Amino acid sequence: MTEKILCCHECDELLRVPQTRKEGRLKCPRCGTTLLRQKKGMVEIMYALSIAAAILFLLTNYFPFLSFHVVGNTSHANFMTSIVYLFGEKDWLIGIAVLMTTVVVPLIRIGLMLSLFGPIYHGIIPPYTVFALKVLSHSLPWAMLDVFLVGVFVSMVKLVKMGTIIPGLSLWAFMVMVFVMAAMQVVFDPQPLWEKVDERRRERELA
Amino acid sequence: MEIDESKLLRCPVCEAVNIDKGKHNRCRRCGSSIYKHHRFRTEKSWAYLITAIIAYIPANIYPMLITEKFGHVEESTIFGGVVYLWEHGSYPIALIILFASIIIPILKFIVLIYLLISVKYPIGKEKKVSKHKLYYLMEIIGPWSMIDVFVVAILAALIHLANIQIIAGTAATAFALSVFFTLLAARAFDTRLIQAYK
Repeated sequence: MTEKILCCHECDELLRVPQTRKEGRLKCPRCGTTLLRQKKGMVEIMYALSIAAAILFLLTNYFPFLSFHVVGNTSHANFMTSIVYLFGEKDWLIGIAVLMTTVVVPLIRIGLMLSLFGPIYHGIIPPYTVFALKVLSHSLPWAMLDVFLVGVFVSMVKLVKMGTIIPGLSLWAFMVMVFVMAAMQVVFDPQPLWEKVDERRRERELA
Repeated sequence: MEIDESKLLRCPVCEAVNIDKGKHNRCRRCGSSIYKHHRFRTEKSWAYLITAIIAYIPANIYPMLITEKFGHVEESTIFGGVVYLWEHGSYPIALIILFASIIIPILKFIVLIYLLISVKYPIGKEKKVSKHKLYYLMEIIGPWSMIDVFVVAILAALIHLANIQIIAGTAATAFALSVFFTLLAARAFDTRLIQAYK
């Protein structure tokens, strides 16, 4: 029986797993980290979620995000307004930090997920799979949409005392997007994709 | 097939198990470099961490938010903001900001310092697994300290009316830098060292 060797990514424990193993959760016997999820339908769910995330991202950036009224004064903000404003005020560093963590990195992640799971769903392993998986692995801590959502709530509470706050359509789209992205992170399992890359390489070497 | 288990290396990016080929190892699957022995094992992480701690000092001294109300200018620091919110009865928000801007960053500094020292000197020898969990926990809660920076950005963007204006202060920049460098420090820390120095 052929075996493959796995190494726990938390504690480096070596494990021998039969090659035929197909489904179910595998936990590291030493530290309890989940090593393999191998859930059925991961590709389908990821494809659906990344399409949803892409649509929600467009909605978030198109409609007004928050409006604020104080006696006689009104100001509207779109999702990107705060970034544009920060750049206008020459607060470059915060501007770049907010732009990267709430727009650029999430957009890259959604784009890569779409371009990975789209072709894989249709049975094609795209040539950029290795690149895409590497970028996805490195970019994870830099996407902070969920943190931004809490930031929005905190600022809403702070503003409630000053005037009237009206949440826009974009805020609702954004909230749903945060949950969709969180769901993607739970379902996403790169290991089967890495194994497909391995299989393809082996086939190429044999041919 | 017999494999010498001490000669196996794990790729930190795709987690493929590679056979050690000497000095320069590249992952067979994704091509990332695998350093078996970092020449600067912990120095890189230390450097980022110290930068983060230095940036954290102005983040607490300078004002985070500058509010202009009818010509009257008010400045508040991170801690001042927490106290203000608490005194005005916004307890949950005060607690969120207290956790995100004060407790989490300091906790992260302490955990990283502990981890960096413990892989060089024999501290906490028996607690091998819990150190991995500590690192994992720190990685998860790390980005949450950005909340205050986002709040400042949103408030500054929304409130620039004729007679009321909110401006982001110097501390916001310093704080964002501090968070950024702690994230880098956490990434630079090689978790394999925990196992190597058991």
